[in-house]
Amino acid sequence: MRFPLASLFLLCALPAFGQGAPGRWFLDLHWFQPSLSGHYQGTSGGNAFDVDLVNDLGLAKGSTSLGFGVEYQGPRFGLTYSRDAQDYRGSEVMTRDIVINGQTFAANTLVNSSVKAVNNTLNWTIRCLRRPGFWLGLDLGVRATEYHVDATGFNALTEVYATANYKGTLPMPQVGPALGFNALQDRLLIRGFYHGFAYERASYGHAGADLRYFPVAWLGVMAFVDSERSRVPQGALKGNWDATLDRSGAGLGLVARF
Amino acid sequence: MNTGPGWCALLVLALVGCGGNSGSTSVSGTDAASLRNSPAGVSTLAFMDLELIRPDALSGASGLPAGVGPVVQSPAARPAGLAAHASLGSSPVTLGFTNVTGANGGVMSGTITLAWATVGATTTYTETFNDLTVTMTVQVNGQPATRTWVYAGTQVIAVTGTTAVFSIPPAGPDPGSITATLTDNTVAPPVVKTWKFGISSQAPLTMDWTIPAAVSLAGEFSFTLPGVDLITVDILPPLTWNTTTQPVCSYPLSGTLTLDLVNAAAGASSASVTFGPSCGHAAFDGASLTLGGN
Repeated sequence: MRFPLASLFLLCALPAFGQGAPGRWFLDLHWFQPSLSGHYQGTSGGNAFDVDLVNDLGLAKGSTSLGFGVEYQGPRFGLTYSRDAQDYRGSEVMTRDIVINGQTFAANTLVNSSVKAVNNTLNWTIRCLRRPGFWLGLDLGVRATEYHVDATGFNALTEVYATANYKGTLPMPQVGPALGFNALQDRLLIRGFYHGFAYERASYGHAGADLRYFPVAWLGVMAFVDSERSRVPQGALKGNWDATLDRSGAGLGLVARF
Repeated sequence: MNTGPGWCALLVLALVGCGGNSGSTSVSGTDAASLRNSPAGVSTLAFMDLELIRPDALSGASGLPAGVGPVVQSPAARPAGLAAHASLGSSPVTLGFTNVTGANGGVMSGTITLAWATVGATTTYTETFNDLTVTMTVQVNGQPATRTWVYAGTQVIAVTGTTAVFSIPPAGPDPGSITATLTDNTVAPPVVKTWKFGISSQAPLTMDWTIPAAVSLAGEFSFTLPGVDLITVDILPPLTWNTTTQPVCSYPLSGTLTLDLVNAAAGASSASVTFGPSCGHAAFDGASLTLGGN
């Protein structure tokens, strides 16, 4: 991927091809509830973790709230900010000892857990190559996901009650190619992106596609898919982490432009 | 996707550095008093009390627990067919408890009546808990208050060679169980709960003392609080005692109880109690409790 990305940087440095349409603002309200799975084993802030979100905690989709996005899409650049939040809940009897933020929940303990993920994404899109109805560009940005983890464990036999909570922010750079199409006299907009990087043996990938249709000039509907995947094999990063995280799903929304 | 350039790695590290974290943890219920009063504690400690007098001691292979001994030798003329016992005298015998500490740290008092008969290679001991009581005194608001456990019922131990099989005779008004009644005077009004101790007929408690340094006990038993809790206990690996060490330890030095609870309100739950490595030490899902301790 080194050559294509470098080529994209080179293209972005070239003068713009012709004049594009004037910039437009977009405001959207969207609903997005991706699946969540993964495991964490290692140390963070001096406290140990050893837990699998699905196999141990049984986390499943819970409630979700409306997210929103604000965009400016100009002829050569675009700036996007979006925010959404999701809740996941689980209630499982542990089949092994798990550790959350240094607190051990012994096997056989009923653990009720919840995870709230709050995503803030800021993206700068540079349109490097533009043709009528099509553009190819580069995204530069950051996506910070704030995780709130709460777990309570109670064993009705030993009557031992344990709690653990953790709040941490995972910021990930968003660098990668993006492309877009428009058709039907600008009533149909389609965008896609792939953001990713690798460091040592750790890797991160974030891919998505977004389709917007405007039955009226200023108001439309949007549908999108989004998939995020992190891999940190043991020994790849400090803290001796062995972790994976997968989130993927589809969303719907209303979008206004002016 | 490997972008390679060092700036990317620097960006990643800078961003990760921005990711703060915080959190807290708490745990309650691992203190000795809480563990003793939990369903797992009740099952474990009452079982230890009920099986304090092991069949290897009854058969003379080892000594009775300190403080336990015959208080009445009767009757003078035993029924025909009952054999004399080398260490206990003639059957039946009443065993009394003097300065004996229960598994929960309380004081044991009362008696057990022991009768036995030998038919062929098997000696069958009938152990009747008359009024065996464990009294634990605690301070509540600066005043002494008691929790008492009273054991009542009968268990039968059939000894053949160096193997014993336990059972509870299906007779009487409450067939197939020994009752363990708790009267808790530390709360107002006092709480009274009567647990029932049962021995599995499919996997009866079985003890073997062929190797004195590894007296073992395996099998299944149960504790039931009618209408509330049903606890089944599987012993695996077997509980082991060592009768060759001094001082003698009344408690297992290894082995695990796996407890499964069906609670009328809370549903199913499980726990494990692992004994050892030192005398009197037990770990309830990792939380330590000293048996016979305060």
